[in-house]
Amino acid sequence: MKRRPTAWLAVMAAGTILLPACANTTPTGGETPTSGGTLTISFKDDLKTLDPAIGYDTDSWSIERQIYNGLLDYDGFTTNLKADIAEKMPVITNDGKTYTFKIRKGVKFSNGREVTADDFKYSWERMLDPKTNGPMTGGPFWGVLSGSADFFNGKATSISGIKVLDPNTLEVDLDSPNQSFLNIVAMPFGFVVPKEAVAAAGTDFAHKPMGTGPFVLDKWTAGQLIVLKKNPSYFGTKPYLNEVDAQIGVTPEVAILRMQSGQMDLPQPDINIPSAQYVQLSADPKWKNRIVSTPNVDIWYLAMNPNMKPFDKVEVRKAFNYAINKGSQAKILAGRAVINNGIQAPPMPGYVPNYNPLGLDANGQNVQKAKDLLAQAGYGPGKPFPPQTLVYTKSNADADREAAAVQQDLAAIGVTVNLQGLAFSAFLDVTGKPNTTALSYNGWIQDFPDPSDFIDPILTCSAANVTANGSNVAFYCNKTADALADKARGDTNGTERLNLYKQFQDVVAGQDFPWVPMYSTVEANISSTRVHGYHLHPVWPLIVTSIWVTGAAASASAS
Amino acid sequence: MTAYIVRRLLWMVFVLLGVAAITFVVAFMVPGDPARLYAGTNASPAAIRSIHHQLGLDRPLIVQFVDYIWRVLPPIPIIKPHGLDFGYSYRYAAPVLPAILQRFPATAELAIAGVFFEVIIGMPIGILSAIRPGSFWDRATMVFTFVGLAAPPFWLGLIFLFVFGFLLPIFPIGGYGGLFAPQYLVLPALTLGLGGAAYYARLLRACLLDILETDYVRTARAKGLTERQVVLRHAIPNALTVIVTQLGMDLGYFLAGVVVIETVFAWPGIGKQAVDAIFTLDIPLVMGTVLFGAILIVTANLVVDISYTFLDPRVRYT
Repeated sequence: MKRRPTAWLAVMAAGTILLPACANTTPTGGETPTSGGTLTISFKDDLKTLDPAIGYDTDSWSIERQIYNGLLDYDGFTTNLKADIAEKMPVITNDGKTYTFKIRKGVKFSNGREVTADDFKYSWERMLDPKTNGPMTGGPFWGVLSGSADFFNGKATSISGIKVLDPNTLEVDLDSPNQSFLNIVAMPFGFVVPKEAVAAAGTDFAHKPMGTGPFVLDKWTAGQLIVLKKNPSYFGTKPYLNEVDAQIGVTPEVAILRMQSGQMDLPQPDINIPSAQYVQLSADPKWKNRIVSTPNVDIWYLAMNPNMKPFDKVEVRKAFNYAINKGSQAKILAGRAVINNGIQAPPMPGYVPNYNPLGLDANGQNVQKAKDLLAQAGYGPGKPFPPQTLVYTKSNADADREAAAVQQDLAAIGVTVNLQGLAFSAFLDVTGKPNTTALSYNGWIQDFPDPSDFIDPILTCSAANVTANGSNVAFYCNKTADALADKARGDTNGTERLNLYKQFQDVVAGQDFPWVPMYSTVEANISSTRVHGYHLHPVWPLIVTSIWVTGAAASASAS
Repeated sequence: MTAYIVRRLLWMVFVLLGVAAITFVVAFMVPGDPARLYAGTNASPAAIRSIHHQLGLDRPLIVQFVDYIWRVLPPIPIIKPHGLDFGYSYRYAAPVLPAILQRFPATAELAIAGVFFEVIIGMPIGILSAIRPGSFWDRATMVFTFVGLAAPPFWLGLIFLFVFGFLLPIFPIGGYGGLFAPQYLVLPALTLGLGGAAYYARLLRACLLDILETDYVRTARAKGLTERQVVLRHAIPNALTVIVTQLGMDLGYFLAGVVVIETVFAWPGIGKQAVDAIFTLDIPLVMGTVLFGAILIVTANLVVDISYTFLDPRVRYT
């Protein structure tokens, strides 16, 4: 999805799960689900938007997911796609370039009007229209649609690759086969919105959303409270809850105190429990069984720019790979991470368990080997390694400690590192420009569970060939590896495709070393004792349709 | 007096222009691209270019600034039919001024309550310490003032939440219950007021100790007034000028937003809004909140200066 500003997480050292409670669902006690009641959740910051064409952050997606639907969704709590507003999975023809979706009949917006194929054409073109100012304008993911380039450039008023064959049939043409297209369709950017509601809201659809989802927005008091009510015309399985109240502006620490005193049900569901409180709660008999956890689809790594000295020498980059104690990084995160020596996260297809091309020890380290490699690169007593600056985003106490641990590890092989912690905006700026940042501490979280999402935006030549705002922060480009990614993108043979991505990983993590891959995190959240059926989803930040509540409602009158 | 007020109001315009110019330049000097944050880290260069254009960020800085100031200025008959347009927040895609005004009542309530606690706690302590210098009471309260001044508000706030919200559930654990919901207001206002109360106590003590040594106080005592009369009628009124000066500054400062308190107590005020705007490079909202705060502070200072004429008959403005 995006480079996250924070590392909230923590560790399972070398594949050993240290979490005290690793269930990904709350204990139900065998109770029968009951309908009714209100779930109270919290967010630290006000939501940016509830317009699915604009929102590109987990807070917005947490609520958008309750209000809207798209053609496809994930089946239960898995990464397998299923039809949602689509009647069934699309028919794929034309060598993987044409997708035909049948729209399910009887699906209605919350204003009572039935959804048609025209609504999807409108919603997708609106989402890609430069006038909407959305993040998908100009090409990310959706640039594969035929005719999208002309639409972006103003040469066409609609996208020729989106065709309405009849009110219930939508045909989508791509310029080239793309095996992640269905995942792209399932992203919130693909949610359907009613044209008349967008027109009625004027420029404020972000605050007056309308969709087909299980809930509708009842109230949004900026900076204080969002109230969702059950949508009586929802086409899917009706949610148990009557209402979801999201208290805004509550720090995670305070939210957990509120939960412990019965004033909150789900503190900040889309981010991890702060490390200090996680340690305390996981040792508390009353609360430890209320913690749920699941592996995140993310990767945290040091990026080394091979176009900048001294990282132009592969021995130096390799030496750094041997120098970092990944176990220390994991410990800082209070036991909620797995050491990762590759480029894919554990839940991602194509992830290779126990991948260790350098033969690193249990902490992912070999200090002597690192020193030897620096000597091979020409550095030693006569020629000290030039001091480096590690750029990282200064988002919380964990981030500072993680950067300091890297500094300490590199000092052990004779490398002096200065730490430069920046606000997220400044961090994006300095790491996104070529030849600006040699060494940085980064994280990447999925947009969708397909291995291409961990390669195309962050490790390909096209992603490196930018003048600013780049996500390939190492500015890594290897044409041989690129050819593998190109071939894999449209490969319809699943096994062969994953093998291509594994080969790509071998080039990056076993040959070129633009990164020091360090760890993938484990999400851990907690809920009050009145919450049942709460699961963590591998893609969505929050699913509330499986949740029911018992007992007295949490006080949610104030935010 | 009228001429003085007009002069001060004219100066206010220059001060606010200066504040606006400095904020504008600083906002654009900070590394970072608002369009990148707006569009998300995966946005294409084309999307970012498009957003730059839509937000007007592709124009020269000076053009953007002049355009901004022109829009913000109040309406001028014939020349300028519209005004007070602080622009649209990038992040919330909503007009800035209503967004600030929507949060201002919460901040105002907290600021007034904070100042109230400063005064009702700080002044009695300062007075009692000054009239019994060196006593046990004086020493004990000076310990309080040391602690009050040294304790970081975020720490104090968390302790209050933990003790009075969690362990002894007397008050809600943060949050905002709307205007006139004292149960939500007490802890944040007390946290805000304690630091100031400690400062006021020290200030008033020092001031009163000086005043109680002056000739006119000695004369008052010689005339046979009781110590109570001396303090209440002669010493405290003369110390009020100093206190009111500080009060005015505090109130202006608090009204401009109390970031730490608002963050810890989930209080939806303009201080937290301003900080969020800074971190998300929401330049119109940053400009709006800074200018709004600056207006409150310079207005509070003007009111304080005018109040001197009522507190001290010797002060005259021409």
